[in-house]
Amino acid sequence: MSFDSSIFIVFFAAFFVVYHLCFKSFRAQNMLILIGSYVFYGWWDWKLLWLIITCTAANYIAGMMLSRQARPAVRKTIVATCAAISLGILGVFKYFNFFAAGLEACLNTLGINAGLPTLRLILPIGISFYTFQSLAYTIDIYRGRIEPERNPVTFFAFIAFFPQLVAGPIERASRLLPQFNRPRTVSEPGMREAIWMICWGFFLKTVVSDTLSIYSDYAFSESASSGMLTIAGVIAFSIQIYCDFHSYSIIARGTARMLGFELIWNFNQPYFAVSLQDFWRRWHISLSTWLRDYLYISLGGNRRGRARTYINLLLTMLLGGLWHGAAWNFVFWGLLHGVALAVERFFRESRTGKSKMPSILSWAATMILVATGWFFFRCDSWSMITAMAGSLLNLSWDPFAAECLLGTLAVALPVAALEIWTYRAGSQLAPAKLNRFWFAVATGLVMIFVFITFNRSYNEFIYFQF
Amino acid sequence: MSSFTSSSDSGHGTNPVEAVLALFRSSWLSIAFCVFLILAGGAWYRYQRPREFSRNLADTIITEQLFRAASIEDFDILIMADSSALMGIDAVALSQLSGRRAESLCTVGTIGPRGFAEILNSLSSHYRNIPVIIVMFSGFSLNIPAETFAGIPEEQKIISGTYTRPLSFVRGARSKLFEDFFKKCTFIPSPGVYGIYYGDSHSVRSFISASHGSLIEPDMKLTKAFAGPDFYRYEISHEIESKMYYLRDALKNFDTENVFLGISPFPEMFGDEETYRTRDKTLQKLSEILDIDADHIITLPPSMDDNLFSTFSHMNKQGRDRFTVMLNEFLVEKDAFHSN
Repeated sequence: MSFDSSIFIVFFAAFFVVYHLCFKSFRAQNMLILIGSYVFYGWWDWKLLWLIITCTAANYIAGMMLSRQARPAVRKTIVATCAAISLGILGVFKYFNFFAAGLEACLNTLGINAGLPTLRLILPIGISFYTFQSLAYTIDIYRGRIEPERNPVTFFAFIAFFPQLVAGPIERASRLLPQFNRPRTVSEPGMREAIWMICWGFFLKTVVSDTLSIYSDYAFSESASSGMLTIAGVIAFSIQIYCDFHSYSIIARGTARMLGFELIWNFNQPYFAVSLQDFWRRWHISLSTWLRDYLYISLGGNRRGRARTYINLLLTMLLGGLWHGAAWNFVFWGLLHGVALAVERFFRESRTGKSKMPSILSWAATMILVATGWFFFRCDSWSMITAMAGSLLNLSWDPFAAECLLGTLAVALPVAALEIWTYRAGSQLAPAKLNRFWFAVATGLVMIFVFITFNRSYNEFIYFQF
Repeated sequence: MSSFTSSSDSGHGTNPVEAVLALFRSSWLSIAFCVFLILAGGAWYRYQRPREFSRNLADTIITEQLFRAASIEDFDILIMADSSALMGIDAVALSQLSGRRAESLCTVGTIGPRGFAEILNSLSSHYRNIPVIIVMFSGFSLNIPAETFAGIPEEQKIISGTYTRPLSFVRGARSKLFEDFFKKCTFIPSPGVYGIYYGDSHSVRSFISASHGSLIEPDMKLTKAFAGPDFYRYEISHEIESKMYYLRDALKNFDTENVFLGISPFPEMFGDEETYRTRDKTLQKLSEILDIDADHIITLPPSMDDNLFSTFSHMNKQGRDRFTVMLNEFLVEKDAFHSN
């Protein structure tokens, strides 16, 4: 079930009451979370539950084995086997057909007629998120940063925790697991923050993202001919993808808070970034830090010289792009970010003296680069890329594009206003700290907009497909 | 190294009463404010009903034509058909060419003959004296199987009065607040090329209203990939035939002898011998079912140049102009405006 469905509201209301009825035992609550999470996930397709159970079990067993094993070679074998199982499931379900088709195309180019098999598989929802979360747990044990969780119910509940199961944030065991092993409490201020996050999340999804999806759907077309519509569409999509993903993350955070859990912030005003490095410190923080800690650093990070650092950056972003899906558009997107990060790092390291680009210029350059990245991200065919890029040669006045652009600005305005306010206030939860009256007005207005736009057009969260 | 495992299950969380109270204390004023706005919106809706908004083009067309059917009068030619004539006959041009006021109440094929009958019944309840009525179908509308009707709700919605019935209080509030708060701030175009050509659904409705009930199909390049030739066999599906009797009865409510029956032309690329042969047979059968004189069958060319079409059943503006002229000439030839 999805957060923006009526069934989830019923599910969560019932879960909230039953969960707090078990207040005397947090272990009973953990069991309830596990059952509730599997119901939540199984609602899409219960047949896919075995995947998450297998992945969780593999990491649980690996964690237990690592705790009993001191020999480095054996420990390495354990972690490698566990990674092979976790990534193997991910690879088969998400990437097999992509690589098989790519290999077949390469062989055909060489004149070898290889009829490689393709699998008819559906992509299990949230597989990339729970695979990375569970794998991070095992690697952390291997690196000696954490001890394994011995209680299977607790561990399985930690991996399947429904607020963040299907689209993150990808939580670290060191942050979230301890919360499963102590009593959880909720307070009135905490509840206010939770309510604000849920209301604002729904606003971002139903009011902003779903409206902007109309404009981007128009612009991203293989028959694009208006450059103005292309520009309007790319701007609309850049805001849409942020609002869509951020909305899921903060609804997840809000629902978790109502159960007494604290999840990390997955976004920190990314469109205020003044460099690409800054952008990646603010965008999808749980993934970018995961890639940094478990991939970039594993590849050597910046410890092996400048050239190797640039290659590591490139590889990390390339795999980060591929994490989003088995398609060339995500590869291009990752590659673009990798190259741009490497170039940015090169100039930063080569800069002499105190010469620095003015903030406004570096912000504009960063946003143009990010928007170009989103252009590749959203284009799902080469013909769409060429048609849309070609349309930029025709920048004549287009009233429809102008209306789309104005519509984009209109729905983005409250988001921008809130982002500026919370940025200045130094807290994303500044609205929850308003006095009772103004808090009621703010949430009431947000709720009413959600009420009037809810279910008008059903668009799934974009990040569900990843 | 951090350790997670707790040795005991000691310590209490928040009990349910405290949790619910915390939730209530933090949200009651917000909910009260929201409920107040909904009540105000609902009351406002009762006082001043907005024109219903739907992004769905079929819903927009049907709602506007039902609105028009309940209000238009004093006209001489009525065009009652599916979208092939909605886009294929220019009621304004027909009025100018014939010197008689023409009105179109064409909608979409998926409301079926029973839906057409509902619209005609709405019109005949206040205006019956129409000298000329033109009933037309496209091949596609005649072939609609039962499962399509089951999957597309337009027919059921028109029969149950969903399009015309006032909304419930809460839905009315939602509609009113959407129109007056949200819709005025942003732009929500109709789907596909219609959005680019017309803008939002209100523009579509305004265009229909100003054009005596006609629409223009935005230009698209017609390719055969749009449809297979099976659509142009013209056999009437059992489902459609069973609903034709509603239309026959609705036509009898009008004081006119001049009811003309036609089948919209199709692009030449789809034409073959079988298509032409079944078309003539179907027209004969339809005239018998609807009790329309065989002499009143519109004998215009069954197909037209491919360049005059946007889709396999919708003419483009150029095609519409040409067909409207041909239709007027046919009516003049039949002395339709003087024999009544």
